[in-house]
Order: sequence, then C-alpha cells, then structure tokens
Amino acid sequence: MKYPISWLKEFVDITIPIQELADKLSLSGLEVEVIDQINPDICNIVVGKIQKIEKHPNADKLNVTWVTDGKDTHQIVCGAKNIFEGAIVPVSLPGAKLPGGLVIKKAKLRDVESCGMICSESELGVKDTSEGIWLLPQDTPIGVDFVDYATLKDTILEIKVLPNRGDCQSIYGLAREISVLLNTPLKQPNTSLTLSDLPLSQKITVETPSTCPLYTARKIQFDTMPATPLWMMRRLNLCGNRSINLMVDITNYVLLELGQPLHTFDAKKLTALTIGNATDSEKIQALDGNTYSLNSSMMVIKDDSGVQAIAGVMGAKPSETTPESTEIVLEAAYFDAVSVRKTTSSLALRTESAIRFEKGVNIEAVETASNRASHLIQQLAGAKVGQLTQVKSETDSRFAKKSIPFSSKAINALLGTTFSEADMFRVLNALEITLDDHNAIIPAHRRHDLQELPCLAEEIARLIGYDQIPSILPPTPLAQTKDSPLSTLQNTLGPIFKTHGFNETINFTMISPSDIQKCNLSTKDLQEISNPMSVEESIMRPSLLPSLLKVASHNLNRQQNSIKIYEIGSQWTGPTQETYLAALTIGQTFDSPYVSHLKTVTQSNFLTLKGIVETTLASSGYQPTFIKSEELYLHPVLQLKISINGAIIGEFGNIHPSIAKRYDITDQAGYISLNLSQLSQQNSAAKRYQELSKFPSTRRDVAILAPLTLGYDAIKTQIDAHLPSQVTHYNLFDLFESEEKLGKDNKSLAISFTYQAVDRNLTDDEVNQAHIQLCQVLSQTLPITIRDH
Amino acid sequence: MSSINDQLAQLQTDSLAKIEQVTTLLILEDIKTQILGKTGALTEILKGLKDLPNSEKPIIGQLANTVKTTLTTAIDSKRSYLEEEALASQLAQTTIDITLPGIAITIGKTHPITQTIDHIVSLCKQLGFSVAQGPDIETEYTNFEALNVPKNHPARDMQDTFYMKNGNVLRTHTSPAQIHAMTAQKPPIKIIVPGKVYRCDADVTHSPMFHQIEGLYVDKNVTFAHLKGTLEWLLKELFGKNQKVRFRPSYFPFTEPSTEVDVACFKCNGDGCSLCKKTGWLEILGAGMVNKNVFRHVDYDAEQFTGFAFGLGVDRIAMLKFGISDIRLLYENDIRFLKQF
Ligand SMILES: [Zn+2]
Repeated sequence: MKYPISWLKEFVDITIPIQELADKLSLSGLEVEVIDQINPDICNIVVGKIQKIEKHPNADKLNVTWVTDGKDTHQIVCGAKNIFEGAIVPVSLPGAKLPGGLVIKKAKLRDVESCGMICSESELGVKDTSEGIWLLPQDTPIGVDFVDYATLKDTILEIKVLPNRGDCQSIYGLAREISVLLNTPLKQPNTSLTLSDLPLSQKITVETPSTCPLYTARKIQFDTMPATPLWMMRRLNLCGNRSINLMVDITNYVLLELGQPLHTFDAKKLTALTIGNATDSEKIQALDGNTYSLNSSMMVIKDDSGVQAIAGVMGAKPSETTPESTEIVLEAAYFDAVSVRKTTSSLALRTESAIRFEKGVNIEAVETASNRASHLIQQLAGAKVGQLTQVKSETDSRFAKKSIPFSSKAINALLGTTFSEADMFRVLNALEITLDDHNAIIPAHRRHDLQELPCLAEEIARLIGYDQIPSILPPTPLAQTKDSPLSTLQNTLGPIFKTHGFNETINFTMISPSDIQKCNLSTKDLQEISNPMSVEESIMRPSLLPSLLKVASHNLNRQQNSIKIYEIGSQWTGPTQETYLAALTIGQTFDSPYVSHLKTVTQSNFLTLKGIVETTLASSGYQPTFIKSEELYLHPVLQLKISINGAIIGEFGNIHPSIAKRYDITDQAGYISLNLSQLSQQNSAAKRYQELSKFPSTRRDVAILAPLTLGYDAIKTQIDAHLPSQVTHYNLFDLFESEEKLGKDNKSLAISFTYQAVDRNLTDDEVNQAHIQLCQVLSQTLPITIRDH
Repeated sequence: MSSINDQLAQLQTDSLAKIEQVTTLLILEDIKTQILGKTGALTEILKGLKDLPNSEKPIIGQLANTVKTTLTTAIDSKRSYLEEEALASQLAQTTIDITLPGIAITIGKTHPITQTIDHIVSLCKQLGFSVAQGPDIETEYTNFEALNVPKNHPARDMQDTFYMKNGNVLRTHTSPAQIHAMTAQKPPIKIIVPGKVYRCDADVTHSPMFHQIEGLYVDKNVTFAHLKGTLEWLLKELFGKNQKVRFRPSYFPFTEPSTEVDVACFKCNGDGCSLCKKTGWLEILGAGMVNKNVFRHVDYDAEQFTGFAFGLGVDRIAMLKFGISDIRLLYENDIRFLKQF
C-alpha cells in the first residue's frame, strides 16, 4: 500500500528523516519497499487568476494573458486553448522549478515578454498527460503556495503489508504503528457530527449474522453534490485512486484513511435491504460495468429489485450514487474475511474493499468510519446526517474481549532472551495491549492476528529489536541419521559421469504434450497441471529424455557440437515419483581433438555406452547383466536393458534417429537412463579382499573363427560353463572381420586366458592340458573353428 | 720387478688419460679392448710376471689387480657418462611442440545449483542436520493446511500455486517436508530438505520451478536465539566471515515469531544499488519458530517442544554467489554456461 507522508502527519508527528523512519518500519516488520519522492524539487508555484486575454500580435496560436496572484499582475504568453478570463490557474513564476527539472525564467516569445507559465496538470507532475491548462475550482484562494495547497510535493512510502497485519492497511493504521515506534501520541480523526432527525427509510434484515455480525446504515441528505476538493482528489491520486464524485471519493478516502470499506447507495433507488446469500446464477450489474453471475455461497445486499451489492466487494449500477444524487444510504459493515475471500476468488474480482475485509477489519471501528465519512460529507456538502441504524449480532465472538495468558518467563524461554518484565510491559502498553492478572487483553484492531503466547513474543521481540536477541549455536548432537541410499548413490554416480566428461544439467520437471508425442512416450496416467503458465510446461515428465533432447538441441543450435550432458532428477510414472539419472552424448569425446586419430573417438557409439554403463555400475559395486530391450525411443537393435540382481534398473542405447530428428539432431546420439530409486534398493557386492598370488601367471590365447551371427554372449556362456579352475580371468583382445581372409559370413575373435594358482607354480603341462580341454569343449558346443591356441 | 711395477703404473696413468679424452662409446670400447682385452696392454705386461721370483709374484699380482679395477671403474663411469650424454642429445632431438594444447576428456561440471546445495548441505551436516526428502507433488493439506495456511486465508496469496488436475498441488515450498518428517518421527528432529519447488511466476528473477532448502530443528528448549545463531553461522560460512547479517520481523503462517534474513549487498557493500533495490540489503531466507498449530497438526506436544524452521532460496544464493543476473540461464543449460562453474 502507498502511504503519503503528508497524510500520515495528520495523525502522528514525524520529526525524524524519512529514511530513518523507513528503516525503523522495515526492522519492526513493515517492509518499506520503495520511498517515492514526488516532485522533490518543485517550488514557486502560486494560484493565479487570469484577468485579461489578448491575441499575441505575432503568433496565431498564442495569447498574451495578464494573471494576478493577488499582489502583482504578470504578463504571460500562453498557447493553451481552454483558458478564459476569470479562470483560476496554477502559475509558475520566474525562478520556479517544475518536476522535469525545467526552471522558469523571464523570456520573450515572438517579441512579447512572458513572465512565467500557466501550468497544466502534466507540467506539475500530477498526471502523465493532460490537455490544456489545469483549471482550478473557482473557490481556490488566489495567491496561495500551490505546491503546499495541492500537495504537489510529497514522499510516499510503499509498504508490503503482510497478511497478518490487516490493521496496517490504512493511513491511520500505519500512523498508529509509527506512533509506537517513535513513542509519540496518535491523533484521532475528526468525527464530529451534527445529527438530524432523518430516519432511514429502508428496513434492514440480516439473514446471515455469522458472516455479517454488524451492519450499519444511515441516511444522508444534501441539496446538490459539490465537486471533490482539490486536497482530497490529490490524496486519492497519490494513493493510486481516481476521483469519481464526492460521495464515492469520500468513501474511498475513509477506506484509505481508516481501513474500513464503506459503500453509498442512492437512497431514492433503494427499497428495504436484506443481507444474505445470493441465489445460484443470480446476476449483478456491477459498478465496474461487468455483469457477474453469483452463487449461493456469496453474500450480497439485496432490495426488492435485486442485488444491490456484493457484500464487501462491489456495489451495483441500479443503486449507484451519481453526481445527481441528493439522498444516500451510507453503509458501514463488518463482513466475514473468509466469506469475502471466497467470493473474490471465485469472481476473480479483487477490490480495495475486498482486500481489507479478507484480512479482517476492526469490528469496533465500523461506527467510527461511518462517522468519519458522515463528518466529511457534512463539512463538504453541507449535508444533513441521520442517526446510525445498526443490526448487530451481540453474541458474536468477534465482539468478545480477547485475552492471551501472559508469562514473561515463557516468552524469554521461547526467544532465548532475558528481557525484563518492565521492558515487555512497556512494549505491550504502547501496542494498547493491557495486562489483567497475567492475561494480555488484545485491542480490537489486533484480534485477527494475535492468537497465542508466541504472537506476544513476536510483538515484544520486533519492537525491542531482533538485534537484541543473542545469537547462540545450539548444542550439536551427532547426526541422527545417515544419508539415504538414494542420496549416497546420487553422490557417487554424479562424479563418475563427470569424469566421463558429462556436464550436469538441471531441467524443468514440467514438459509439454508435444514432447510426449515427439519422444513416443506413453500417454497413460500423465500427471497434468491444471493451471500451467504455458502448455510447454504442463505435464510432469514421465521421462528425462525430452529434457535432455531439448538441451542438446539448444546447444547444437549454438554451434556446440560435442554434447555430453546428464541430469539427476525426478520423473513420474502415474503418481509415483522416482529419481533417475539420464545421460546423453553426441559427437566427439575429446573437446577439441586436433590429432586425427582422436577425432573419431565418440561415446555415442553403442559399445562405448555399454562400457560407460559397465564401469560406472562396477565402480559402485554392481555387476550388471543385459537383457534385450524394445524401447520405442531407442534404435530397434542398439539398445539393452540393464539388470542388477534380476531387477531392471534402466536401459541404454542409441536414440532412434527419427526421434532425434524431431529435435533437429542428425548425429548419432547415445542415451543412458538409470532408475536410481530402484538401483538404491539393490545390494551392491560386499567388498572383500581376494588374495594376490605370489606365483607367476601364464597366458594362453585362443583364436576362434565364428559365424557373424554368433553373439559374443553365446561364446561367453560356454566359456563360463567350462572355465578351468586355474583361469583367473579372460578377455576378448581382438575382433576382426574380413571377407577376403575369413569369408563373407565369418568373424575372428581372439580371447586371452590367464592361468594362475594362489598356492603353487602351475606347470606348463597342467596349463596346456586345461587349455586344450577348454578349446575342445568350445569347438564341440559352438559352431566355431579353433584357428589357433 | 721394478720394471713391471713401473710398467703397470705407466699403463694406469696413460690409460686414465686416454679414457678421459674419449668422446664416443665406440672408441671407449676399443680402448677397453686395447687395455684390458685378452691381448691387451695389461696382459702383455703380466706376461713378464713369470720371470719374477715367487716372492714378488703375489705383490705384483695384487698391484695388477688394483690397476685393473681402477681402469675398469674409470671405463664404466665414462661409459655411463657417455650413455647419458647420448640419451640427452637424443631426447633433445624431440620435435613435439609442447606449446600445443593438452588432450584430455574434459571433466564435466557440476551445475551451479547443485554446487550451492552441496555447499549448504555440507555446512548443515556439520551442525548435525541430516538430509531428508519429500515429493514434488503434495496434497493441499501437507502443502498448506498442516502448515497453518487454511483454505481462503490471504496467506495463500503469498505463493501462486500450480494445481494438478486431481486437485493436488506442486509444492510451493519445501516446508511440507516438515510435515512428513514430523509425522514419521518423534522429536528431537534435525533435518534439512533440499528440493524443487514451484510457483506460477516467471521473469528475470522468478522461475516457475526453483530450489529451496528447508531446515527444521525441534527439541526441548530450542529458542529464537538458536535460530539466530544457526543462521548467522551458516550465512557467514556461505558468504564470508565478515558478512553482515540482519534479522527482520516478518510473517509466515507456519512460524511465530517469524523473520526474514538479509545479508549486506555484495555489490555495493550496503550503500544501495540496483541489485539490492537501493536498500543495501539482500533478502536471503525466511525463518521462524515453528507455529504451535503446526505441532498440533503432527501430534507433537506444543507445550513441551519448540523448534525453528528456515527456508533458503537456492537459486537466489547461487545467482548472488556466481553473479548470474537472469534466473532463466540456470535452466537453459547452455554448455558454455555450465562450463563456467
Ligand atoms: Zn546493493
């Protein structure tokens, strides 16, 4: 909310610099977001009256005017069309400074001397644009300092009022807070009235006392509605409001000043009033020009002809107060915060009035506000003001005195302080919280907010100062739990992928339906956001794949040709959220391999991907096995599922070229997906020391001629089944295909076996015998020829 | 006898001089043959041995051995000298341009958000906090009501919420993890929860998805002073020992008293600039003493236990620490950006 300092000063003396005041407010819980200096340098503007106008002798579009400020008459050249003899206008005299920095000097305009300038609203910084000169009301006193008179210069505090401080959503409310902070008295608004015998013609019935515990109304009569005075208009403007007509302006003024929303009905257009709930699909033609469809959960004010106001939110056109009105009904009421909030939420109609009701207004100050508005109407329109008629639900708990048990010991215990009881009392007293036998009596304006002892502790702490609370590190016990297996796994696997050259990315977990389609992902049981910011971010991703493809695409479009990225993040299968690691690689392994043989090295080929999967899992103690897989997003052949202890924990392979193409990726792309939530539930192999042999090892190789179609896994299965006990390990060390040397359908594999015993030297005979036996078994069980051993 | 004696002495002197002057290994081997070979000078001299009286033979023999050892040693040391010299000159011939760039697989980088989370988590672990997790999709109850934000309460406006089609919400803060933790475990409890959170808001400093770290400490006798001590320590470890920290009263429905914590602006050192919106301070986190109503929702004895909770905005801290001005860069994952951290 915006608070003009000049208005605050009506209720509290402010003698300290504004910056200091702002700091005090911020450090006591009312965060000053902006200190807005309005026209800080403006000066030397007076109210003048145009006495005579003559055509400029040398310019068609200019006039020469003679303007009096009550003492002197000034000759001023003016180009505006809306001036007339007798007009009251703001005049800037030589030496005046205008908001844009313009300094007014005596000047000659086409040979005619001009001693000042007649000003428009925009020239005085009051409006952004204006047509013609600012014509002031005829009763504006001539010669007065217009900067003061029209509050052209002011400082405005913009404060973020938090939801618990509804009591500060008004000039008076903030002034009350300032009076506490500065320890100065708070002045009361003038509510003096001369009441007339002017009974309310309308009967009032409240059907919903639980949501409207207090409704007041009074009749006010005047001959004609005068224009809104400049000072009021100006204050409304400074707070961001527009002037409408005097009655509406006064209710808005009191709303800003006291925080109590008011409404005026044209009394002649109104019959008996009922406050109750609307009926479903009942319509209201509201003051903002829109028609709203209501429902039975919304509180309204009706008369015989229909809904005349949405309670606490907005009035209706048919009973609108217009400049022609001469008799009004002034409403001041307490509407329930939750009820008003529900209504504004479902109508998407947030008004200044609703914003105040939903944070809770002061139920004890409703009458004061009505009196304050009536006072202003009486003063400004010479109105007759009738008695207040009120319908009050006496037993409503909101009228009840509220108290909180007070204990200085408990407050110090919560805060960790040693504040004296005297200091606490001083703060509470300043806040109008009184003590009655260990009970703190809460003033009406804070009943919504202060609930329990910690609330009192907060009041005391914020006014004594949070900086007065010591800073103490709590005693530190040992951590109660260790990291979860999942977070341990994340911490292990991330660095391994980084060592392989992959950069970590973090992506939005929300993706678009088109991504689901482009990646051939299942549309079953997707977790959809009902109010996404854009359809691009409307589905909780069922896979990390689209995220990484988009990142790859983004980078490829920026000439980054070597993509190695991974993400550890969530994906959703139905409502189940699981943590995955996904990695994507395109292009060269080395960043800028100027050496020719490194240029072709890439991790995106299938077997290198497999190697990354194997070594990564092995380094975390897992022995993966691989199973044929049929993921639609992967190359139909180049893909495998990864199994640990029989559980599928992921898959990898080359991304299907037609999917890659949808993301403008034309190069081969390798992809690995690991379900870390699953993997973290698998036991990794316990680490046990295997004795190292002191005896030498012997290597024996075997070269196999096999059909191209025979998979390595078939050979491996046979080797494992018949592996001599002396073999410590074996590995494939050569693979070659040559139509010329081996024939079109054949390949050659060379496997090396290491023979070694822990307890003795193996003799050549023993090794040879075992090896020959192995070779024989292999050639018997497999469609192969042993070429050499 | 003296003649053989002299001959041996002469041989040693001459040979040492020759060895000294040798410049190639080839010549050295020639000289070795000439002196110590089967038909070499030493053998020639020792042929005279047979003419000596038996009594002198051992003495001369011993002398001959000494000469032989001396010369062998000299030749060996000369050889290793020449070998080293040869190797050195060979190595010096190497033509590889050592000013060329190195060749390696560039090690991948950790995302700045993760770096920030890791840093904060490791600091909190030093204070005895353990890491807990919570889901991204929450019920309205855990995200709001259990945290003392009833339906139709204005505090709901503080966070623009994404709703799922089934009525659940994307968590607007990591605070619902407090509810999960306290429902699962009785006090004492001391956890931090890093995670993703979501709000309908997007501009240079707001992203619809961002990161928070929630902290919760509940026990007997936990005070606001402990909250201040903990956060002050944490922020000074994070931003530097001399970092000024201030606590401002604020409002969160789930804490009472509540505070927002500011650190002095890094850019202007508190003088006021565009980064700190001329206030000299940067808002870093929100915190407070756990509201008794939250304890009631999880069935904790609100009279026996107190606690504090805090929520750190990770993205903001990462942006401040690394000087990143646009939050969208964090989620664009431009490799040129990622490689900078
Ligand atoms: Zn700054």
